[in-house]
Amino acid sequence: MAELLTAAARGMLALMVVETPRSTGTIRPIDMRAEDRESLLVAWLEDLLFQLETRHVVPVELALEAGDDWLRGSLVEAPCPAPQKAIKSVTFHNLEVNEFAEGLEAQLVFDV
Amino acid sequence: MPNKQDFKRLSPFQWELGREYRSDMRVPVRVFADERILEAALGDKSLEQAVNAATLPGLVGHVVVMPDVHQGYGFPIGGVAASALPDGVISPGAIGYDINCGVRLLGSRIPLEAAAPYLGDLTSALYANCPSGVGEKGSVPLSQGDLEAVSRKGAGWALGHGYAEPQDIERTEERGCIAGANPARLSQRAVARGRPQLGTLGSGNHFIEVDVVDQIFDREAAAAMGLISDHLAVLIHSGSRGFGHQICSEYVKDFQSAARRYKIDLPDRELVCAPLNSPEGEAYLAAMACAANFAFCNRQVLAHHVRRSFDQVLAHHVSDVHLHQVYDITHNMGKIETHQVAGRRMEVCVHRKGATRAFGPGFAGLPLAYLPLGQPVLVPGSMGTASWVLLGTEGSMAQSFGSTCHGAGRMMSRTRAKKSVRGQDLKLELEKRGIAIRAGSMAGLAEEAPLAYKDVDAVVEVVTRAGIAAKVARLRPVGVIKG
Repeated sequence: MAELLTAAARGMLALMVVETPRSTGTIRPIDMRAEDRESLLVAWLEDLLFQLETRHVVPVELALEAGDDWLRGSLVEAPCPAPQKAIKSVTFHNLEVNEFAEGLEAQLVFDV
Repeated sequence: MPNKQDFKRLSPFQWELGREYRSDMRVPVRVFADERILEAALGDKSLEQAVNAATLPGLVGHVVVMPDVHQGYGFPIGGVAASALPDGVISPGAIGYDINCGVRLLGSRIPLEAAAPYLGDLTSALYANCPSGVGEKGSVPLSQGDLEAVSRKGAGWALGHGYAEPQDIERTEERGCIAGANPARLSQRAVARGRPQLGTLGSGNHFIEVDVVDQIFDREAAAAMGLISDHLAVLIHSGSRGFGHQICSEYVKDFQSAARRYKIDLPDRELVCAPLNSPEGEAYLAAMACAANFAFCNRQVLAHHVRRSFDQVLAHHVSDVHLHQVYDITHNMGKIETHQVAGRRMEVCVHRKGATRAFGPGFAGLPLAYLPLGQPVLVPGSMGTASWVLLGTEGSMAQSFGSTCHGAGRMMSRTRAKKSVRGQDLKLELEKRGIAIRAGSMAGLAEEAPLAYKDVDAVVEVVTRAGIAAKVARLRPVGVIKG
């Protein structure tokens, strides 16, 4: 689950065309609980969007541990310029987290 | 997915999908469309989403689908559903992330001929004065106390702070303030996102458009609205920005568990809901009203900046530069209203997502000048095509919970639109047609290309011929500002 959350964060920031910060960042601990893994995925990505919009930071390093309904760890966050593309919300629409032999796969729809 | 054979044609412009189509439907679905529009709607998932919406507990009448329908998140954009009080449900996803996304129309006594040489400067001034685009901050930063006051008072806050004229408030749906707002229901995150964003346009399909009144269909109504042929008008399309998005996101998340608690089975998690009289339902209504009031105030502050821009550029060139408010409407909202359902008057919560309230003549909430006419309805097109001013009718009260369409309706995804046209080419093409464009992003401009939308004239033809709106005037764009 931690790998899925990490990959989803990287994917979302790539879609937003966020420039990779050059400066070093500050550490923010993270501790989240959710109803299920789909809700956890939405909550995690929404948290990153919120930090980007209000503090103008993105994670440059992630050290996460996660289960189906919990997430703990820490992020190193660094300041970045405004993204080129807006993602306004992470939706539950057609949201899926599926298990395969190789691991987990998620489908997400963003409101842009 | 439903197909055309599943629909019964009730009239040339109305089709019904009965409850027998799927066993979990609680009410039928009625679609306002001509044959071509219905066939186009069957090309995406919007009508399947309308069927899913018809499973919401406590719905009455039928789910209404407008001709500008397209697929949304869970609930179709261009959909209307009414749930009965006290224990029918409210669904944040059936109202939309951009709570009280809406449109404002300002009219003028400025002839196009007099303004034409200055339209380039005017659009530049509008672009400079009305912050737009991703993460842009507004000109009116708010303290937490200010934001709470905006949440409670809506456009009235702007009046008290010099951003409005008294007539603006009078000519705004609900006088720019939804009752029942309770800032105590706002999270710190919603407050943090809302505080810097008052008076911002945003990105995506939001815009400010300078139009010219191209054609008048109802002289009496146009005169009451102050719309004059070949004179300028301004459309502002924006909503509650990150504030509304945060509120909707939080309640969609919270309602996931509420739906389970109330044993509500849903075909799509985005449709999560709670009974109107439950603590969760009441909390959402109070928070939704805060976002709605923020949006009314946001469009009001934008209107102030639009007036400032007109003053800056045109004051020395035209005799009367004043822009008067025609009306301001919301097209993403849940409202408690009284309607006649199966011969009985009842209180319902009308969810309108991409649909406009269209109350007919005599509705007590209308300003005096519009009382004998009906409520003005504002239907923006895409930036290269017409926009429309319509009136609500008695027919809309009888057929569609006092609702009508809200726009042209997207028919091509943003990705496909970007593959079909380059933003720079589109800008040049529109400028050749006499439409000045100022946009923050060429990719964003391409996403909103007219080819990505249905023909707004065809949409308006359906709603007027079906009797759920009446034509007043057609507007044609001469200047567009996009985020």
